[in-house]
Amino acid sequence: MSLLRQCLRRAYTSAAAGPGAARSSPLDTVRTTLLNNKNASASAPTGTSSGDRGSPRQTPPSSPSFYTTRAVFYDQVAQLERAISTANHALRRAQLLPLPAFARESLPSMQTVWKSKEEMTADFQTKMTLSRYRKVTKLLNELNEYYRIAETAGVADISQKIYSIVSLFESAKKDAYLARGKRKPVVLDAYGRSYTVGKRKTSSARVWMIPVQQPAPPAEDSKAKAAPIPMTTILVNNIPLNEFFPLPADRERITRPLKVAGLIGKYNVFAITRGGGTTGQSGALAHGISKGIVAHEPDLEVLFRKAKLTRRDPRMVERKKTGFAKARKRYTWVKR
Amino acid sequence: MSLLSSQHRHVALALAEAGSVLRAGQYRTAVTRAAPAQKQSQSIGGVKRGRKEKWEKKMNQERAQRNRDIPKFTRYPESKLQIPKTKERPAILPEVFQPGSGHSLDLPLFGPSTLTAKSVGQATSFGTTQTNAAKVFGLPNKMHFEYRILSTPCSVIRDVTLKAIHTLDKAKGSSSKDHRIVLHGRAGSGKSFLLHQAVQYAQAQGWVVLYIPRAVTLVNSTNSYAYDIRTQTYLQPRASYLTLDKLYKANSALLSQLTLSRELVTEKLNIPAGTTLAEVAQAGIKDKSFTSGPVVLETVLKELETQTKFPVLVAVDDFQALFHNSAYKDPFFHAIRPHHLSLPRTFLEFASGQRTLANGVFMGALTESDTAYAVPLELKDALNLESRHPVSPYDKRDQVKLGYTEGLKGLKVPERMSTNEMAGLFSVWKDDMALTTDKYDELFMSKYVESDGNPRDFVWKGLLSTLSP
Repeated sequence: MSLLRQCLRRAYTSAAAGPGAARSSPLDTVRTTLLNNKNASASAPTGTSSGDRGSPRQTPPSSPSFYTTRAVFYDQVAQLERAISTANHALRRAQLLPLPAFARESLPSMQTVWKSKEEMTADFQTKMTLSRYRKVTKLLNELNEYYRIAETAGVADISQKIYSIVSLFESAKKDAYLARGKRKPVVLDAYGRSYTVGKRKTSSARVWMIPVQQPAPPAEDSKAKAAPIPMTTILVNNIPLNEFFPLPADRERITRPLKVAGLIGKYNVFAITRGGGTTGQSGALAHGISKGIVAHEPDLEVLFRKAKLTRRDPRMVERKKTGFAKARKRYTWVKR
Repeated sequence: MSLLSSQHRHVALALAEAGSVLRAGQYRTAVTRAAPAQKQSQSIGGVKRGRKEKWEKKMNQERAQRNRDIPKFTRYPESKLQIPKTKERPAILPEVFQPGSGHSLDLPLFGPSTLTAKSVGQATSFGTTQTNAAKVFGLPNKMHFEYRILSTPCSVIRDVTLKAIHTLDKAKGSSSKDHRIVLHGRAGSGKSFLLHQAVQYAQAQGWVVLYIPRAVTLVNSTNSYAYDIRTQTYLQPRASYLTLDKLYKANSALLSQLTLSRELVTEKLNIPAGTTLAEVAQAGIKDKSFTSGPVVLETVLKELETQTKFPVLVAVDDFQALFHNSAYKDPFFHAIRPHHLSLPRTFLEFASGQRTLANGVFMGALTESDTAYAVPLELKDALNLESRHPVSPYDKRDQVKLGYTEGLKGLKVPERMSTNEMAGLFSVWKDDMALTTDKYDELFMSKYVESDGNPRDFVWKGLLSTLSP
């Protein structure tokens, strides 16, 4: 019996069984078949007899695409199409398809990253040209859409099975790719320190921030003096802030993030600055401190973004151009 | 623009400065009325296409540039200048800021009652009598500038103040050989202020006080000098005269109770034994040619060394300058060494214990801010001072100067003022209305962090340099 007939019969039986019944067979077999095809060699068909040339074949070839040039590829594609069909039927039975436009728009995005052409070569045992790749990814995208619907609806049995097929074709670099362009979350180390980097012009500052240790509360004995106010100490390249930055403007720029957050006296800061001059280094340090504060107090992220403190100042020195004395300065105009 | 109109504009500017805005406005309007129309450039013999427009545009730009220098208010009508922007904040200064308002800080007096452990962080004012050491001897430069801005000369009581006072109390009655103290610490940490507080305390307690607020003036060749064969040193007649004069003025009451043990005979003077030191000093001061100054000063100091009736405090600020080769030149154009100059020699000998006060203390304070007279290696060795860069044992140390550092004890002024003390300092400037904002907490905390607890930076680069609202 052909595979196609097998599929139809199974689909029919599962449809007869109604929604909610165990529909493990079709999608699971698709998965195993995909894996088998991937690992099997395309050349040797099963069941060939090494008998006389003249005698007819004892057993039929394993798949209908045996006599094609790219058997595994067509097999895999067929399996994917089968999976799509099965998933579609399952979702229809669960009354999740057809989905109205408003529901479709409200679905959360579940962006995936498929394997590259080179990586899919191993799966399909053939050189993946662009057209073949596009064909495959089109099918995979459709399957991913069904997964999205199933996952949002909460039908775990359908969504898990679809995912088991989809995950075979997902790139290992999926997380890295999806997180590209987004800021890496800063984690505090064992001592509660944050490590952030700030930049301005050509300067960079590596900033470590640690909460100031609160002194033990004074005993009830009234003779004890009131506890001193905890104060922030900022060391830049192991030099106190006032010695490293003599200009008041630079110093104010550095303490601005702490002032905006209202956290002066809460954290101690140690920084190593490099490159550029005083303004660049003070700006870089302020940037690093802002990021450090956001790492310690995630609630302040929105406030800092509004205050443009976590923004890396993109202004850089403009290049000199030909025909100009400097970036914008023109040469003296001579009448004659 | 014609030359005439430019003259008019200069006149307008001058009048505006004098304050007669109305007339300037009139002149300005007259000038604008008389201003010619936009200059049209003429070309002789043809000009390249577009050049004429470029030239005219440039001339217009230059005219705008010239007019921009003239303040806008010269073009405003009088009515606009008279009305203030808002009714809440009129354009006139509050009464307290008006000259002659008599506003001054209301602080307790610096004295034994305010020098207690409880009053650490409390600001206290110094007396303003005519014999006060600050008035007579003067002040170090930076302190002088600060007191010019403040309404009352004052300072904050710190932990180190109590330490220094305690040292003075302990040293009372004993020789200065065991009490030669040098105040050291980071630049701007309050060494000069502490020395000044010690001088004020000593004077209040009835000590004889000799205070040199700027010892660098003794070595930077700002005073006349002359070689003296008798002492084989270079005398500084004017400096000695002035020092004697100040010593007399600050301690006349005490000096009139001390007498000369040996007669003093010079070319001009013949003072018998038994005369009061006050009279001896007056005799030296009377000679306005400064020639008797050095001799009389030496005599008075010798008497103060031997007497035990009153304790004596010799306080020298800029102490490290005495260890540098001076800016004076000898006949061979070599820099004169400090111990070859009379006054620096005197203080160096007191510092090293070669001359001792039978009842007294020598106190010096270093100045880290002077780069021309930086703290020398010999002093750093003697006081075990921290160095930013590694010090090599192969660096040359002058043996004579090292000799003058023998037995010096250092008293470190802490790098950071405690928050308590800083709060006291902050309240001084707040009450003297020097602050631009009313958000005191935020200002205090941020300026403390920015200055890293350094008092000078906190005041000058923090409170007085900020424009934060």
